[in-house]
Amino acid sequence: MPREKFRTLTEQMFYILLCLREECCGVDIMARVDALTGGRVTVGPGTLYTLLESFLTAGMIRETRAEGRRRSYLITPAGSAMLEEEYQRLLLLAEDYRRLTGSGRDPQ
Amino acid sequence: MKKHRLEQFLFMDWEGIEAHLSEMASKGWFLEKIGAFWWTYRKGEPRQLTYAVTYFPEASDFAPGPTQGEETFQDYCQFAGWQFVASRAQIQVFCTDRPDPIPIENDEALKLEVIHRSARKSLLPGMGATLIISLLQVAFQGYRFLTDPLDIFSDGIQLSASLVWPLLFAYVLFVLGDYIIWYRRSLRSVAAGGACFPGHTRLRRIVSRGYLILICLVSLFMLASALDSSRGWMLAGSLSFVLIVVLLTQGIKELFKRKKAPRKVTFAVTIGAAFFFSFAAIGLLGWSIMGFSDLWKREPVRTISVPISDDRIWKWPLYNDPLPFTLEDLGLGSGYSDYSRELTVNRTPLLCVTDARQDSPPDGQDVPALSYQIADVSLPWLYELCFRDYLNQRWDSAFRLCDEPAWEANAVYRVFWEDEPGNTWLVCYDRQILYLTLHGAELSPEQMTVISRKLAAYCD
Repeated sequence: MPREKFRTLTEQMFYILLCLREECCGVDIMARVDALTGGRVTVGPGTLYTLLESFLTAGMIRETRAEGRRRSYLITPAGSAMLEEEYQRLLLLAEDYRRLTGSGRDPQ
Repeated sequence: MKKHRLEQFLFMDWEGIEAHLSEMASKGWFLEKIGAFWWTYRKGEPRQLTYAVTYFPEASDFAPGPTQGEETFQDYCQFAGWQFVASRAQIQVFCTDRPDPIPIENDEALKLEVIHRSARKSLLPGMGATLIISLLQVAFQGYRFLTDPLDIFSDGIQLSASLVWPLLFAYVLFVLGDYIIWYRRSLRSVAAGGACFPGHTRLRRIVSRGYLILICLVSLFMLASALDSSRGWMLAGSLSFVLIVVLLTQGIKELFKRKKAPRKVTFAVTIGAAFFFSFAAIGLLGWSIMGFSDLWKREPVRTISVPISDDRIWKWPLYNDPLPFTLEDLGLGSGYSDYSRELTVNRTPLLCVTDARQDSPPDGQDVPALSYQIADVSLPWLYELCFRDYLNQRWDSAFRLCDEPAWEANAVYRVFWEDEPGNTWLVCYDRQILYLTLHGAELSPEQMTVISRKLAAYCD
């Protein structure tokens, strides 16, 4: 079930998982994603909460610390695998685009 | 300074709530608490605030306080600039004064999922249960309409009470159907990358207002009928008992919540209290009806002492109401002075039932007695129902069609025990049905015609 749900990650899911490659507490994730994407991707607090709960249930992240209400998370190997899968998928998309449009920009 | 308001919003009308709260804030009224019955506002300096309404499925109306998850969620919102205002069950209200705030939910698919999970916990079970109960009641009412039309259609209180259930059923059906349609549309829209459908539409507002008006009208009708009859006290009593049961149950729930009882305990106690108070109220109502029934009996004109046994005397009440026709009109019972004449009229715009009786106390005298009922009904289908009701009132004997032109009626029925004719008649006129029993004498054709003429005069 969770695999189906996270087969393709939305941008918010992607960036949250990316941030959680280092231990991070929920509140800081919002600021980090905002900084990382230059404000392009924002995660609303409600969306953040729901996604963190879903990731926890699906075993893609785990809770490392709970200091009262502040909870910190870290990505799990399963989560890392999904992130990598998504990255590869995006590469495929970029590759197909380049091939068919002849756009000369190489991926970084 | 505080203000309390009764607010009425549909479950997914978050836009409506947000707009309303912003408007209140711009007038200086700030939401402080969403209570069980009304919302409380606090007066302050008018400000431009943006409100956001979110749904938190894991919250419960029975929990003593916010769960850890709720607190974490509120922390996230606070970090994003949203101040927590109030919450009730699954609805959480936040506000911000930032000009361009990050929406709390900025993923439409997740937002829809969260709303739906909340609905499945609160709206759908509640409405589902109400739907089933009201459907059963409507079916039961329908059954009573068919089997007991004389009683229900002539009684304003019962008639208006029977309207409440179909109205409730239709309203719940609308709310449920509306939600399901909204959910499915939003599901499709979100799957295609779009947004949830709006929860605030003119149609929903019109329907909500419309139902409110209808309920008020029915209540007014009930009130008017109640004031008209002595049983108005019974109606007022039962309504206040219902109100007391609701208030007490809510009160117990709020008490346990304030004492920080665990959610399951509060839930169990609330359900138990609801049952207990309902049954107590029914018992109390029944007892008070029995106890106070003497209070609203009419004062008799005079009483007669009738010896029942060797040492007991019964005070038999005698009344002297004006009757459409009496034994004296038929040339019977003259010379006897202890007749009691009682008249009861139950009327609604649909049906008027007049009950008349002229009888004597059990003083051992052998005098004739008369009892009859006139049903005055103009609607053909109701006439038919009432007629069938009369026909079915005999279980030990049966009505047979007779030929008795002296009644000057469309059809005449007489009761027969096996083949023995009795003294009970069912006479059908254009708009009236007469159900009459004469004790201690046989009706002659002349008397039948007298009755027919008197009836015509009474009903005009």
